[in-house]
Amino acid sequence: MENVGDLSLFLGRLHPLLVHLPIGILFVSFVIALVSKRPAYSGLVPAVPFTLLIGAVAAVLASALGFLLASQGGYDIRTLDFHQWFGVAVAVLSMGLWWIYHRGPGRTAGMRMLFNGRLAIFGALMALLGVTGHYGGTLTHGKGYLTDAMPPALVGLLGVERVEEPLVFENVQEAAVYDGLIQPILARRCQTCHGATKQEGGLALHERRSLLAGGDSGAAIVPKQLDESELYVRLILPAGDDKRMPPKGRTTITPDEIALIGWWIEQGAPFEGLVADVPQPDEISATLARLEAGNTEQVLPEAPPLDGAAVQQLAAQGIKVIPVAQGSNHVVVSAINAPDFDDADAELLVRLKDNILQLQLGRSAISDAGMSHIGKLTGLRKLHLEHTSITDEGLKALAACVRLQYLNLSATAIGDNGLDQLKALPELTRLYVFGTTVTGEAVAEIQQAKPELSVDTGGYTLSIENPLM
Amino acid sequence: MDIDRLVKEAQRHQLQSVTRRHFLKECVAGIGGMALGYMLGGCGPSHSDRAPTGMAALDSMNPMAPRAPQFAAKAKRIIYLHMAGAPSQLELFDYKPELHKLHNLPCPESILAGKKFAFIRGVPKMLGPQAQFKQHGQSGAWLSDYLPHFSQVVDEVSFLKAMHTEQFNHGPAQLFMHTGHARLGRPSMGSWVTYGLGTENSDLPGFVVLTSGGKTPDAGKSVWGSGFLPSVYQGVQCRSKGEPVLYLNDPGGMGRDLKKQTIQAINAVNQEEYNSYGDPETLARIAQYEMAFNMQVAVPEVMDIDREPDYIHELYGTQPGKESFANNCLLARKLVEQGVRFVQLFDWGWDSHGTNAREAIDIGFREKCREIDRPMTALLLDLKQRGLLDETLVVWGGEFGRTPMQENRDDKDMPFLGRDHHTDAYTVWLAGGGVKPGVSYGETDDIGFTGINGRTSVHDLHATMLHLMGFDHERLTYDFQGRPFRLTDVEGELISAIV
Repeated sequence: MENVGDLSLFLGRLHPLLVHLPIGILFVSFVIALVSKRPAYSGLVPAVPFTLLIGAVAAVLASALGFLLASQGGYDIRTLDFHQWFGVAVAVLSMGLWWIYHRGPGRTAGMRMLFNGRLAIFGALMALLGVTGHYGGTLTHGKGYLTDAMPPALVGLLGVERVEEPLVFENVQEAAVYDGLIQPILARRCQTCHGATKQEGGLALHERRSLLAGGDSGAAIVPKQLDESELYVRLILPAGDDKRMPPKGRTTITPDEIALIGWWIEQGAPFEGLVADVPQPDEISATLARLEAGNTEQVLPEAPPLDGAAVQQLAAQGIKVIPVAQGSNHVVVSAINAPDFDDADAELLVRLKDNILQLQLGRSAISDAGMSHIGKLTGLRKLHLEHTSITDEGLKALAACVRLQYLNLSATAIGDNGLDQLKALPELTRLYVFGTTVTGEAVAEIQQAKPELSVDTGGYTLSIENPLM
Repeated sequence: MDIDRLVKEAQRHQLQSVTRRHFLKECVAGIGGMALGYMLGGCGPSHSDRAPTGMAALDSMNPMAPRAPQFAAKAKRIIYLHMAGAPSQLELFDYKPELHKLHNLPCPESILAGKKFAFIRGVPKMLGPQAQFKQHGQSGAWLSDYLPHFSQVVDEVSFLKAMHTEQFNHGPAQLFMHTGHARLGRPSMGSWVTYGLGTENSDLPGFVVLTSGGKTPDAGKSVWGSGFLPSVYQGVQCRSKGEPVLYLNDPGGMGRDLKKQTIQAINAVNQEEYNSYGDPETLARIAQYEMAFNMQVAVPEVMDIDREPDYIHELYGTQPGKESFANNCLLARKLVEQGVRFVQLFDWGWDSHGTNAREAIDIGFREKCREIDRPMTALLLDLKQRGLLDETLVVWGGEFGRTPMQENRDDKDMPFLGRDHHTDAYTVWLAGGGVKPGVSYGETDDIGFTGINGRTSVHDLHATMLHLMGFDHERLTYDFQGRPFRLTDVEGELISAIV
């Protein structure tokens, strides 16, 4: 029973392949229609309806598959709508055009007019085909796929809007509160419709003056009065409300950005000064901090696809390979169900060296000999080696793991010398050495060298007698 | 025997499993699609021709296999410490010096107007804080002397001081706290989390429940039930005393090999059943058989605290062989260390009405605080020294708070000091797993009656917990009875101040 559901999925996915047929065939048909005007090529005239019919049938088929694909969801509705109905129009128009060519001039005046205008209609069909194709491409590759690669001169010429970069600051507190923070948010989220080019509802937000002037429905902002500030009120209307901004289908504004606009208005909507000059409740400090580079969701370079055979081999030994997030090629590898994971097995991990972010080898049989393989996992962020027979010797291999942030060495045979070698790891921030022979002096030394590193030596105690008793 | 009747019965059974919905679904791709399907050989009567092979394939058939979260997350596991009966926030975390001044004065009518209480009738007297408060740590968190050990770890903790709920009776309030809904039938938090993430260790359950205090929660086992989610996601109750899991041991004469063969045979039959009907409950059953087999070895091992060193027993205050909150805290650490996804502790005995000494704020309640103070502090310290705290989220709380008024059940004075159930204000704390340490969020009024800013609801807490585990709470859904359901129903907002 499920098979049929899956079949529609499968057929739907053939749509991107099949669409190339009508595009190619209809284009060839158009070329034939053009050149067959010349007497030398008049023999080609019958080929026009012939190729047109094939193209039209292909277009109908492609549209049908397109509907199957669309029904699976996951596409931007606005773009999809355009693509879908333009696609249907292409199918209908090409069928009609075929009919015109097929029937010939006909007897009625209307038919004759259609026949005489057939090349113009064909031209329109080509334009429609181009537009449909473009929207289709946008659906698959995302907005800006084409314009991003466009030479700047051409961008200026065509007046193309670029997809925005995320708003990220080195030090957000030192940014100008209006010009550096609030205006960029308005520019990104509002000014396509309320800016220099377009002023929907009489509102323009690109200049201080026009922002203060407000729009047809009154003042956009009233300093210190959120409830009166139409700009803010519209942002927090429930989803689905007709008056909510940005309207459905437009790029959405994030809750953090709304919070910052609200905070700015509440603080009197200052146009001068730095972010640091404006009083900040705790939540806002936190929101602001999230805008700083490094605090935003860390953007990792894309990892290559996983080596399926290696994953299978690991899985066969009970070793789990778990993506860090859905659709990511970065993985966590855990040997929690494979206590006999040993040095030889570690070699297998090297085949996933660009994929592994976290490695859980705690309580496994890995030893110093296998560490040379671990050292090749240069993208590693988090490494669990607790309760293994690793010694200072094995830690030498970690020198190449320059991205390492978390290292758990508790209950291992490492000592002060090993700690010394870890000084070279630039990003290391958390180190666990509970149950080792590492001394307090060595910890003090590495913390002096690396102030951002926290070393947990454990061994916490709670006083025996309860102060209450 | 009447073979014909049996055959007819079987046919009718099979026909019943083909519904109108199946028929409509088959029509989706159209007749042409079906023909094409046959030509491609993809439309056989069963799944078997495209059943995946190999280990990865097995995993995809296993509902408990570890899965990726929606986005990369800091927390991998949760330990939830639930104080069943609802402890008084006014004697622990929410310091109200003003309430001291009002001690024993009648409660102003303005506060009582329009409010309903579980037991308070007429005009009760105000009850000042019965504990001494001091600020601790670099964060300057207020903490009472009922939790002396806990003062050492306040800088690891984030407090939500203005939590509120909708239910003032234990059962519904506990259900609401754990399933996001006050009526029966919804999956618990632990079920949602294991449904979303599976579990790392295939030899242990993904969701373990441990109880102490002599009673299970008022709301019954539904607080760790799986509701409409496949039943493989329900909590597995383990015991710290006696056999860790009931009915797990082999009966006499049954060897490990025989058991293995039996389970393999049963699972083969079940797999065929699944291939024909595609019911996820069948997969749940297969996974449960396999896990039970693995658990026979793995569970007694992880549940055995005898072999922990003396130092650890001293830290937690554990006594092996007893059923206690301390033992359960140590077990929780051992379980998360072994990759268990969600460990749920219930400690009963926090319902301090003042009806007897055990329920008196200054006697029984104080004793309960003493019981949990050392183990829960030890749990945080032990997770920390093992490098586990940063990926383990620990949450502590009751199902509601207690009133700033002294309880006057049936409008009579009570023999001991007690507080009634209260929905408008209580404290929950979180630690580890990506929670910002040392934060106190939310504030109640001068007498601790109502949150005046930073109010957070149960749905908000759930949304935040799911966020820390890598899920947008609005997108972790399960289709049931024609609509997608989620833990936070149609509410919940991330508490961004603490993440």
